Amino acid sequence: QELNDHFRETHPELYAVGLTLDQIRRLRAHMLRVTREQDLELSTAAIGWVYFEKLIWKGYVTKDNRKLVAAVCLFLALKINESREVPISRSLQAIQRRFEVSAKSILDQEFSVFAELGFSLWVPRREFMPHFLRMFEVLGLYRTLKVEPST
Amino acid sequence: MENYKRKREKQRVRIRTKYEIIGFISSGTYGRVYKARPREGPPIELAIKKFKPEREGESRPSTGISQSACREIGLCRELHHENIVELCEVVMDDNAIHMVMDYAEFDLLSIMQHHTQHLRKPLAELVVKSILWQLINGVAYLHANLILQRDLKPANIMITSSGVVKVGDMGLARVFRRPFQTLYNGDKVVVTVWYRAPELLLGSRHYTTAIDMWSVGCIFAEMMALRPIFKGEEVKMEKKQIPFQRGQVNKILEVLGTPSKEQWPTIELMPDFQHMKQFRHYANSLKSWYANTGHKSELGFQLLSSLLEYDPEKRITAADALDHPYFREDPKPVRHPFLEQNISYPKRRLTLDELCDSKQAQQQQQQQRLYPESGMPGSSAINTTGQ
Repeated sequence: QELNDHFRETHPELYAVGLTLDQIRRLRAHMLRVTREQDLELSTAAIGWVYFEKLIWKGYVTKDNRKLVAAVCLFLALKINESREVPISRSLQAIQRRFEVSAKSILDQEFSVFAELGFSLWVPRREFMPHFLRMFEVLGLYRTLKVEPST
Repeated sequence: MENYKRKREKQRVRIRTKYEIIGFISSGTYGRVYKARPREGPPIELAIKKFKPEREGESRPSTGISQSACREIGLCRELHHENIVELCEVVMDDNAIHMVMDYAEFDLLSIMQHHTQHLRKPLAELVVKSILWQLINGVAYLHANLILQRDLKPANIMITSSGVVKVGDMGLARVFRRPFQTLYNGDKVVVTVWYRAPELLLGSRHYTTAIDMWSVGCIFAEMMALRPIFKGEEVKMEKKQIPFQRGQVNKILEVLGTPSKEQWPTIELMPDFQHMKQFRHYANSLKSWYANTGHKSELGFQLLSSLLEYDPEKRITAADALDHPYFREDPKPVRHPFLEQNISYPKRRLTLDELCDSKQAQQQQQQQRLYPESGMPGSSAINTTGQ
């Protein structure tokens, strides 16, 4: 609660569109969960997260579309980043379950998110590494505390 | 959300209202490429690559924008260089992704074919050198940005009517040394077999910049001889097993000789090294091959040998090749070789399909009737005086 209050003070613009720190963190946890469950690269979640943050700062993310946009970000990240041939449709199903949005809405939104990201899907290392390292930390938390993200 | 959808619908660009599609250029597994012109603004020519739309009602569930489209667009967005095809816009229309790109009138394959089939004479040294230098310049830029082209071949090297090289088709290109990416993806072997580097033919799984440089060497040789230097027969893939390309390896050995351990110290570590025993011993005959092309520059031969170096560790890098003394020797490379040498080639033949605008279509057909051989007036005139 204290953190949420602090967040509201430091990021009034996000609070105005109805986003709280809790919600944002939960979405990040969802991204991580999907990559773990589907045996995807951890870097995929980190890249998806970079996309999502960019869209937050652009004011594209609102309280209503946050889950959908986060789902699409992860979906695009997996297409660009996975080096093995991953079964994309299976991952799409996992994403729709975890983010509670339909596959159809993800596909409908895909181009719009792609365009909003300026079609730039390659993330420079400096933007990507902090998230990647953070996710390692978060994963450590998962194991030691067995904290499940509440949905 | 509803408001947002309406707004999006309003902003939606229809490709046909913004661009006039003049003709169809080529097609591939990814989709089709068209020549187009913007309906407003400066009268420039553009290429539009239309990725195959997802067919509705297919048994396989839809997975949205294809992975290769995502990658190619994502990469092209980051690349801005005189010798790399520039991506101008991306449009979603008719359930398909359209990439709007620079248009180049020629590609190296069609130019070389024109020389063999119509002109029956080689490319002038100045032209070869200028195209080679620009090609290496584009590749050096990609490599400096940690990108491998992975499928360099004459058909992928676009050339404008003044002679500016634009390396195109990034469909297979990949970023390397990005965190945590392996570059070998399972059943996909890249690089067309004639331009494939020996380490790949011997089963190497590591794609490196040296692989692109081998292809550059093959293209350099082909520009001089007007035929592929290593024209091996491709062994088709069976049961998802990557076959050993015996014919291709043999072609390389015939010209470059059997590699010695001194030449390529790590050759025995190659996964398919055991196949090397089945070939007889060859001596290196690149020198006489080079002499047969009629080219006399000793520096040109040196550059070719360093590009076609067996050991990828020793093969010349793009940055070093740009600095090679061959490019400081006369004739020095120029930026617009066709313009300076007053060379013109027949324009690209366009065909028509249902997407093309009908008025243009008729004009085009008329033009082809008027100039059935060359496509355009005055096109087969080539003037290489001063060479």
